[in-house]
Amino acid sequence: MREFYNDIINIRRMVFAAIARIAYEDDDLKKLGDETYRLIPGEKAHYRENVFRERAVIGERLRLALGLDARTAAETGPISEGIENIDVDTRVYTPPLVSVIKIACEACPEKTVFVTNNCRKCLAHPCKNVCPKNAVTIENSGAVIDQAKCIKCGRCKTECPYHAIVEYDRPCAASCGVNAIKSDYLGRAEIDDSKCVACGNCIQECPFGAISDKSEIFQLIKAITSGKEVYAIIAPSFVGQFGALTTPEQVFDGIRALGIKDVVEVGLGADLTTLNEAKEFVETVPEKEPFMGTSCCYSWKLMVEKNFPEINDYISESSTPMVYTSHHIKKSHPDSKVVFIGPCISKKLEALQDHVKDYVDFVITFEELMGMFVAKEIEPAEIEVDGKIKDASVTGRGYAVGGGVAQAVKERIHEINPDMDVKVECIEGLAECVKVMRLAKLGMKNGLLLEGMACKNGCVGGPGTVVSAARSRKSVATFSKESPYKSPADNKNIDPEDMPK
Amino acid sequence: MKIVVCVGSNCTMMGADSIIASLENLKETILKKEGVNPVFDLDIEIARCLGECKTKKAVSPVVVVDGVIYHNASREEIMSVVLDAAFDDILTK
Repeated sequence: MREFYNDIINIRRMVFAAIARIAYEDDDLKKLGDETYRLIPGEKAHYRENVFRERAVIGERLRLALGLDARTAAETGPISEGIENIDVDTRVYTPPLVSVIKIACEACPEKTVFVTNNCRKCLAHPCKNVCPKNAVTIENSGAVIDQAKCIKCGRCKTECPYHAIVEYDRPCAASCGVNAIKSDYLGRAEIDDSKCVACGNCIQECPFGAISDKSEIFQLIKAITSGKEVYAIIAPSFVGQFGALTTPEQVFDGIRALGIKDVVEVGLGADLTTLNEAKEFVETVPEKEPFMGTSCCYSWKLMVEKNFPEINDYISESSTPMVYTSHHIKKSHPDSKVVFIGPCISKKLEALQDHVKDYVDFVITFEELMGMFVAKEIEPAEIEVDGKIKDASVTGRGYAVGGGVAQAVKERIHEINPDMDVKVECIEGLAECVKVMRLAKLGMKNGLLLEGMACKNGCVGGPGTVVSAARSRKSVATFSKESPYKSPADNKNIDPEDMPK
Repeated sequence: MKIVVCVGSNCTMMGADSIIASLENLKETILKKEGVNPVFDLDIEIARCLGECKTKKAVSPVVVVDGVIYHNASREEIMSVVLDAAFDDILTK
């Protein structure tokens, strides 16, 4: 969550709450257009130049939240077009997961270095003197950069004593760690799906709220209301997300009040990931493999797979906590449906994979769950609860925070072999992950346990969170300490036959 | 000055936590600076759903400053109410 983008965040969440309400109340989807008037009432614009465009954009947001594709201004027909295809109670969305809402995109210019009117046209003109491409000339108006020659090295910017030269980049592209954002024929952002790893950074960073992912809340609620047995598994970063006075136990009861049968911490699966990765590390590094990368962040995993195929084998083969936790549920309830609730967007993509899709039926974010609470008028903080949640160990709960995965695996390795000195490196942010993997490819990370997280701060900094990373980090730490199991090996909920041998 | 921030579901969804964060930050930064009355006291209380959103439409987040209810409260509005009071406090004492 980008803390100071209030309006954008609120619009997004209002849409989730609206779709959740429509689904629960079984409203006629043909009247989806009316919802844009309910969300943007009156005739005065609040966010953009006019109210028509505001309604058009929110209409596309409603479509994406239903799992449909966003449309361009060239498409005719009501916004409810294609609605019959998504009015079902099973997963229905198809990639691309993340897309640009073209009618919301302001076509910000691509990366440029240019001179602002702070330029004093000074006699020293260091900008001209340092330019390695001789692209700067001093004209009557001041310094001018020949954009055809400029290689965007930024030297002129550094040298200018008046801070008159700025380096500008469109926020979506600047935030993309894998260079997946290009321009279309109108200069608007366009996502290259062959490169995108669905980390959701651009969704958080666009100051016009023009990028969005698709949601599965509608189909999830239809599954619940049609009487299917739905179980929820909730990621370790959930603590503190649903109201400053809401306890983790109240969140669980709140979810049950939505019509969901039961809830399990994904921390349970995280414990299995820890046990498996620790075993794998001890057995393979450095004899069989030079280093090992963690496997729980799907964007990180996908980035390595797409960009570094030659070292892809060194990413742990263990399954992700989401997968282990859903296995755990489907084992005892084979006919049930499982929804993963997390801070993450790429999990929606992971859930489409062949080895995952039969176990995880839906994926929603904390923001989307918040929308469901609001739609059903559930106040988790007011629910009377007794008992404590005991699904995961201390370190399993710690997966939520950057460094937590490596810490868990390291502690477990120490339990297996107290003499083994494991060096870890924790990488946060997709761009950093790419840099480190370049070095790893050259053999410069040998012997290490590499924890890769596409989001800064780890999962608590995910694009689907409700509160800032700083606040939820504290809540996660407190909840983690409350676990009765110090080591994942002590976790009584894990079926002994699922433990790594 | 006593501020009550509602952290019910609607208000949390519409950014109550970021208002709390801004007020806490104010308490640790500007309100400690010179020029602000050192005895000015900012008491931030978080409350369960105050019920405002149940009777009126689209009012979240809700913040109550010394008994005055603010609907659709924004952090900039509430912060400025606090700072106006913090500086006024000096002028009147």
